[in-house]
Amino acid sequence: MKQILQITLTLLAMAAPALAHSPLKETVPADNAKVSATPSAIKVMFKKPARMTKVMIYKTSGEGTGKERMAISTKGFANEHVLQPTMAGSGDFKVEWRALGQDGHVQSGAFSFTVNGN
Amino acid sequence: MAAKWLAYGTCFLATGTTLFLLASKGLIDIQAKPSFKLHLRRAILTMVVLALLASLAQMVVQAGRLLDDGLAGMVDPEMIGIVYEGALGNSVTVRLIGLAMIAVAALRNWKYAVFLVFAGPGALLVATSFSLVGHATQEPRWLLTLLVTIHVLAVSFWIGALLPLYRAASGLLPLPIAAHLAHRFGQQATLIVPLLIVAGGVLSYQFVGTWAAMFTTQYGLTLALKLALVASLLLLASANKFRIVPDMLAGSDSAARRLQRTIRLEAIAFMLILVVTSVLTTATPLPPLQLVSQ
Repeated sequence: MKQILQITLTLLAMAAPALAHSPLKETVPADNAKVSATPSAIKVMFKKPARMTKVMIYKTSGEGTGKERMAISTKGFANEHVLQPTMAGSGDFKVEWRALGQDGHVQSGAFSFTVNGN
Repeated sequence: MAAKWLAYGTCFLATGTTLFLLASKGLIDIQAKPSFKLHLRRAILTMVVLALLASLAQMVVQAGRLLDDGLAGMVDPEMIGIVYEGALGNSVTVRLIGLAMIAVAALRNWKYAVFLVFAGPGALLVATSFSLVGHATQEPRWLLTLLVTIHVLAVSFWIGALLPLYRAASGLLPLPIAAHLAHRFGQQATLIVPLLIVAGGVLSYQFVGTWAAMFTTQYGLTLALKLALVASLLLLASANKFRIVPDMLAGSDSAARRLQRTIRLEAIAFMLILVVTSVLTTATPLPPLQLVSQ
């Protein structure tokens, strides 16, 4: 029984590096993009329709660092989700998102962008 | 993933033992002591309750993952609502209706016709529920739904036979009847197991597509591991069918003990196979399309 448990745990550990390819088609701003002003809208575009459940935005440098949970305006399944950023100013931003796919799988990911003040 | 594993195991046991009772009608009702059937009916009811709990746990765990992997989402009504409206919610709803019908079928010692009316559609609903969530929801959907349902029904029939045959061989039934039951299962398995393998094979082809993807992607390699386990299971099963059951039919008491031992090994193989399957259906992305279309 011990051996079985060991094999089981090994298998479950193998499954950890699973989220290999992103379900996203693109984001605006793109991952690691440098933009000149705080975007008025952040777009997350999926390859297949998904229902977003949680989006966090982190400001990690510049004035007024912090984090906020963004409001999700599209409540159903959609290919494209548009979010209104609540933080402004120059600095580094990171967006972390979670969504439910139509197949019932949980998806998650993150992307970052930098706003140059001038 | 643990909740899913438990849901697989308990659903297949509940459905399968029900199917076993359906398939061995005359033998159990006429020749076996009533206590044997009562024992099986109780096992089915226990598995139905565990399957219900595991299915609800799956939904709660998913609600948690939709929010932040923590406990907060598990009690967040909005997240639970999203899960319920999603594919897993549909699947669990259909599954619970099926489990309820199986529970009704197992609740009393019904006449066979009544048992059939509840158990048959109940088993079908539970099996179909697994095609409503996950990779089978993509195109070609009708084909994948059909294949998953057949695959689940067949694997349930096999898993569900393990407990009755084990108990029969443990002396709960007289040796000739136990031998007859195992022999009949062996005959039915020669139809069911090829069905199981063909359905699984076509599904694998739909999901993996090429030999290259089979040995270069995480999904393909995990599937290969599953196949290796299935191969060992088939070896055990053929030992039962071609060596042990004939010995039992010939009246050998030691063969009954050998059958119990191989059934224990089969149960372990099934537990591992279901672990690999949970990994495949939860955490492993399908090979990317460009690999499939090459």
